[in-house]
Amino acid sequence: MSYIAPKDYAADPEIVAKILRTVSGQLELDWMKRVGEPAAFRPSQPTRGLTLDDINQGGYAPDKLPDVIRHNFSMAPRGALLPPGLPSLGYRVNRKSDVWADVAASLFEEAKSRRWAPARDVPWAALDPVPHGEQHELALRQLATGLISTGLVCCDLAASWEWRMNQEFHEIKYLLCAQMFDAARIAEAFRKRALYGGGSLGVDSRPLGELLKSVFLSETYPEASAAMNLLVFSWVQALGRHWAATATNAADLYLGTQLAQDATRFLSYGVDHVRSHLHARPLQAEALADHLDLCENAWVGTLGAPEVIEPLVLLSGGFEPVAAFYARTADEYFRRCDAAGLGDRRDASALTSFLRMLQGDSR
Amino acid sequence: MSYYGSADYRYNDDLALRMRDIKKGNLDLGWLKAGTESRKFAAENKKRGLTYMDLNQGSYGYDDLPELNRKTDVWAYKVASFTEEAMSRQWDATTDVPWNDLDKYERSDEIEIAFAQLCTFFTEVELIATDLPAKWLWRMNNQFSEVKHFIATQAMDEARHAEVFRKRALAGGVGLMEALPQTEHSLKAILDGDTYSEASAFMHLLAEGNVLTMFRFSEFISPTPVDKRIFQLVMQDEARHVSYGMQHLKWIMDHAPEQKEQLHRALDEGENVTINQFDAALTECMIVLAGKGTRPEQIQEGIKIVGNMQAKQITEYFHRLERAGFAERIPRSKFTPMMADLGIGQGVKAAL
Repeated sequence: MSYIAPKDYAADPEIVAKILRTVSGQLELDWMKRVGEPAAFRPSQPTRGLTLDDINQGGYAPDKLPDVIRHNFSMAPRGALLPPGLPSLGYRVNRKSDVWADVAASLFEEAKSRRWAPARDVPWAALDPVPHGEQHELALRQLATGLISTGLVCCDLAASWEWRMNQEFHEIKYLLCAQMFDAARIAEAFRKRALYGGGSLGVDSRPLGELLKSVFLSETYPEASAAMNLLVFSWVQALGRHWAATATNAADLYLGTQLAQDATRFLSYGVDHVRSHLHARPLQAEALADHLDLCENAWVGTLGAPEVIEPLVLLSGGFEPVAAFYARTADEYFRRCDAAGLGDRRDASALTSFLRMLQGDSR
Repeated sequence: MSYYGSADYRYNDDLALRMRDIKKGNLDLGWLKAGTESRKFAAENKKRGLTYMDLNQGSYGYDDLPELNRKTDVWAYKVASFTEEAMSRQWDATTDVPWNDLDKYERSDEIEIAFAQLCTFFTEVELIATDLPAKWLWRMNNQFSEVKHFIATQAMDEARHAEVFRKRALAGGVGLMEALPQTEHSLKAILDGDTYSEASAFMHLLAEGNVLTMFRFSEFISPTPVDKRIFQLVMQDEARHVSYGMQHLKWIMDHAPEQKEQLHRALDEGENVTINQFDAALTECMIVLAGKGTRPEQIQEGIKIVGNMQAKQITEYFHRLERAGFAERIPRSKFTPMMADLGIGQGVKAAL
């Protein structure tokens, strides 16, 4: 046990005396006078309910937070009165511009309102009997195997940062919990998809593992966020759309659509977060660009791995549609980087060389 | 950057040759011969859908997982069904609570102040149950994916709890009140647990067990039906978390009884800081709510009700220890002599 209390409270006569005083009816009631800023917030749109944005007003709003939090390292909620004696819980991510995105509160609301459960919401019976050829089915299971790894590692990544963040950023912490939940659901849904019926998992992909490791071991939270939310989820969203577009049945259509929808939340946070971060700290652009260089290189390895590209070739009816799919995915990713304030990354990126290679251009 | 990939794909002949081959239609297709086990998986109960329990077969199942990275350190009986339940019982604090109805119910200032203090406490403590699971989740082997998934659902549940109590405090007219230092020391002790099992015993079993009893009690003393609804929603989540903690402890008792002394020591300290959590503001706000005011006769009534609730917290904790196969903890518990000192030990004994 790392934390040992300063005394044995069970043998502390003061505590027993305090309890006995209360039990005998001698209440202090001082706390009733220690009231903070009054608040009686209501839903701005009754049909939408009481959102986080509705209660983020006055002293409870995040906009007056300083960039560096120095006043609270406890779990006291933002806006509560802070008495002396609050301990530090050891939070290590205390700079607002390292985590913040204005859109985070709305994305958390969306994550809750668009909840779904793979066990009962996917029309599994649509896979009985297998509605397409055996190779098509094996290709889907292979891609599902990669999505399981991706979901598990993204769940790990969100978890590894959430507990280090200061409680003053509770909207971001809530969103990271939703990300853990969403990413775990990706792993669950695609594990079930791969195993349903006479199913099996495919082979593990070493290049995908290297990509995920590069992302997971990011040194700072902004680097982790750019790598996971912008890069990995550009890929996941594209896969979701492709899965839905090539679906031969209601179950795959549903899975692909939900995957793309959930991935879009990661992307939205990533773009807004990186943009806010660079707006506040423009000198960090180079560090993020360096990190994305390395992750894009690992992404190229994944895109070119036989266990990734070949199932896509089988599902898409040839090489050319996959090359077009890759080009579209990369283009969307580059546009997002640009929108996030990272500039045009096309020229510097290993992805561009790879796409040229696919087009037969050896420049 | 801590990790550099094994290849630079800008200058990679293997990749270039492979792409040329695939472009020509010469696919490797090695991945088609994955050699993984093929089995027939289907939903046992179509109404319930395809659950983790349905996938618990052969090499894909969890029953025969080896003690790699110690399954005992994280596993719990029924964890797959807890995860499925969590997935199916998600709710939304924004839309599932009738916030506008708060205006329909008259509340005295002192009741609203007391309720705001209670909500401040719940907002403060609920996020420990996101931080602690998150602290351990990413260190767990992915072979234990059902446990990791359960922990991810718990993090989401607790974020929603912190959200709903913050919203209630900020919708009631009073706003947030004062944070509680003694409570914070307890939270710190949970977060700093040396092992996952120690932290789980303290958080899931002891702390969340106490909070579960408080939720039931708070539903009973809620000033409005809107507040009752909140407690009904959070209670079902909290019960799931406590059940996981109990089943994890039971798994340890059955598979690694040598860890008992270590868990005893963790709970010795956990109970110690819990006793210090007897904070005037927290206890008194519940007394005011239970007695429905601050007049002497109301205070006396409140003390009676809150006293019963506190005794119930201990008896339920002891019951859980018994059900987890850890009844030997009860005579060693720091609560036992304390209850005797306060003259409510007999009540606890009788309840057992």
